[in-house]
Amino acid sequence: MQKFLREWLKIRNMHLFFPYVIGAICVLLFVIILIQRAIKCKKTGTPFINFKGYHFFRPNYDKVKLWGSLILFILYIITLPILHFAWTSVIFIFLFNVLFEMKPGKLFEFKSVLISAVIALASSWGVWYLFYQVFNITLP
Amino acid sequence: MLLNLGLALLGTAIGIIFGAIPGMTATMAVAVFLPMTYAFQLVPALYLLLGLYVGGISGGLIPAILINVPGTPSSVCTGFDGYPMARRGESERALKIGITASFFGGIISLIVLALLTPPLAKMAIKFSAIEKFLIILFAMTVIAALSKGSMTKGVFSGFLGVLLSLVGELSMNNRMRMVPDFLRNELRSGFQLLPLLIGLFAIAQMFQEAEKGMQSNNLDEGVTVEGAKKFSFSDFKGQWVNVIRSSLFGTFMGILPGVGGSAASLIAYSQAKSFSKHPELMGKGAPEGLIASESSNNGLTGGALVPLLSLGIPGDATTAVLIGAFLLQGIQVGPLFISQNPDIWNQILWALLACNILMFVVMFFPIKLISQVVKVRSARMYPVILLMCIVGAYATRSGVMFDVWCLLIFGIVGFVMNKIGLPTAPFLIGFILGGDLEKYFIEAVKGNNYDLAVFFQRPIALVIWALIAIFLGYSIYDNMKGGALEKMGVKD
Repeated sequence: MQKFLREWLKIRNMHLFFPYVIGAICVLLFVIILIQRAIKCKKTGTPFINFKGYHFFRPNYDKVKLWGSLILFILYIITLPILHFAWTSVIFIFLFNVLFEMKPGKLFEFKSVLISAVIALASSWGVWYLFYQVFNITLP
Repeated sequence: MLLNLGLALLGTAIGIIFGAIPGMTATMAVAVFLPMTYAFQLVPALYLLLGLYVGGISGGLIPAILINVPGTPSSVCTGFDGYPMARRGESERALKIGITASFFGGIISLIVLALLTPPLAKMAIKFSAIEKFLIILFAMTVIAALSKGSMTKGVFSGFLGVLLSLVGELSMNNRMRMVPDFLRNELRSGFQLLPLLIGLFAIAQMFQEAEKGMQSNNLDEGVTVEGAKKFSFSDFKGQWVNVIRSSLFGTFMGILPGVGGSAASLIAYSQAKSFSKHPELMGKGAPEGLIASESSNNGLTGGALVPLLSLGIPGDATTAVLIGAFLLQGIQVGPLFISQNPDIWNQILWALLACNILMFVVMFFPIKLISQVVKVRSARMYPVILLMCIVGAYATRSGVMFDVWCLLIFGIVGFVMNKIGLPTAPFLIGFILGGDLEKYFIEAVKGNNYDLAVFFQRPIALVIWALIAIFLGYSIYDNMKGGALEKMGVKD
C-alpha cells in the first residue's frame, strides 16, 4: 500500500489520485443503492424498473410555467451580453411575471400585466442602480 | 454601528418575508442576498446575513399558524398546535407565543455558541492534518447518517459534492483534472460556490414552484389575526423547562452537521409530548407544542454556527451558505478563526443578539401587519429573486458569463436531485469540504511516509474513529427500522 501511495502521490500524479478514489467510491455507492433497490423490489414483489405509472413530474404539473421559465431563463442568459443589463432585465422580468401570473383560460389581464410592467421596471432599474452605481459591482 | 443595526433590521425584516412565504427558506434568503455583501466589510455583511437567517427561520411560524402550511421546513411542527389555536380564534395569541418562544430559543443557542465555540476551537488548534481529515470524514458520516430516507443516498450525494469540488486545478502541482479543453479558462479554479449554492437553493426552488403553478395562499375561512383570547406572558408559566429543553435540543441538532431544522423541531416536539402532563391535548392547540417547535428551530441558529466557527464545518445548509460570505472577504473559518479574528468573533455574538431582539420587535408588536406577508404572491417574488441571483452569479468573478450558465445548470441539478430523492444539503457540504479533504489527506500521508496506519495511531484520531463508528452503527440500525426521522416526516 505504501508503494502504491508513494507512486500515486508523486507530484506528476497527485492531481489524479483523489478524483479516482472519490469516483470509485461514488460508483460503489451507486451500485449499493441499486442492490438496495433490488432487495426492496424483491421483498415487495414490484419490478426493478417500472415505467408504468412512473411520473418524473408531479401529476397535472403546470407545463407552461415550468418549461416556459426554463426557456425564458436560457433566452435571458443569451441576451444579457448583447443588450444592456437593465433593459434585458426589464424585458425578461416582465415576461417572467406575466408567465407566473398566467391563469388557465385567461391569458392576459390588463391589471396584472400593468403590475408586471411596474415590477419589471422598478426591480430591474432598482437592482442596476443599487449594485452598479452604489455598490460598484460589475454587471453584464 | 448604526449601519450594522440598520442592516440587521433590513436582513431580519426580509428574512421574515422569505420565511413567511411557503416554498422560500432562510437558506434561499441568505443565498440570494450574499452578492450584496460584496459591497460591505465582513462585519456589516454578517449583520445582514445573520438577520436574514434568524428572520427566515422565525418567519416560518406565520403561515404554519395561519394557513397550516409551514413557511420553512423548520416550522413543520408549529402548525400541529398553532393552527388549531388559530381555528378557535386564538391566532394572535398563538403567533405571539411562537415569536416569544423563538426569541428565547435564539438567546439560549447564542449562550451555547458563546460558551462552547472557544474551547472547541482551542482543542481543534492542536489538530494535525490527520485529525482535520478525520473530522471532515466524521462530518460527512453524520450528514449521511442523519439524511432523510436513505443513508446510502446521503453518502452518495455528499461524495458527489466532493467529486465536483475536485474539478479544476490542484494548487499543489498546478495540474488540471476533470476539465474539458474548451472550458480550461472558465474552470481553472473549479466551479464557484456562489452560483452552485444559489442554483441549488433558489433556482431549483423556482422550478419546483413553477411546476406547481405558482399557487398563492389564502387564509382559511374563520381564521383572522385578531382573536378573542389575548397573549399574556403568563402563557409561559410552567413552560420554562420546555423552553430550555427544546432550545437545547435545537442547539444540539444544529451542532451536528447537516441536520436540518425540521429534525430539531420534530424531536423537540416529541420530547415535549412525552414530558407533558396532558399529552392528549398536544396536536389540538396546546401552547406547549408550539413553544417546543419554535424554541427548538431558533435554537438551531446558534448551534449551527458552533462547528462552522470552531472547526470550519457548516452545521446546516444556511451556515454552508454563510461560508460564502467569509470566503468573499478572504477569511478562513476554522480552529484559528477566533484567535486570529477576536473582533469579528465578538461582533458575530453581538449581531446574533441584535438580530434576535430585532426579530422579536419586528414580529411581536406589528403582528397584524406582519401577518399580511403570508398573502404575498410568490409569483411576483420569484422574478425579482431571479434577477438578484443573476447579479450574484455574474459578480462572483467580476463578470464571467459561464458562472451565470452554472447558476442555471445547478438549478436544474437541484430540481432533478429533489425529484429523485437525493438530498442537496450533503451535496453542498461535500462540495465545500471536498478541497480540504483532499489537501489534508495528501498532507497526512506524505508527512508520515505514505503509511495509512497513521490514521489509527493518535488518541484523538481513535476517538474520532469511534464517533464515526457510533454514527454509522446508528444510521444502519435506523435504516433497518425504516428511518425514525423519515417516519416522523422530516422534509429538509
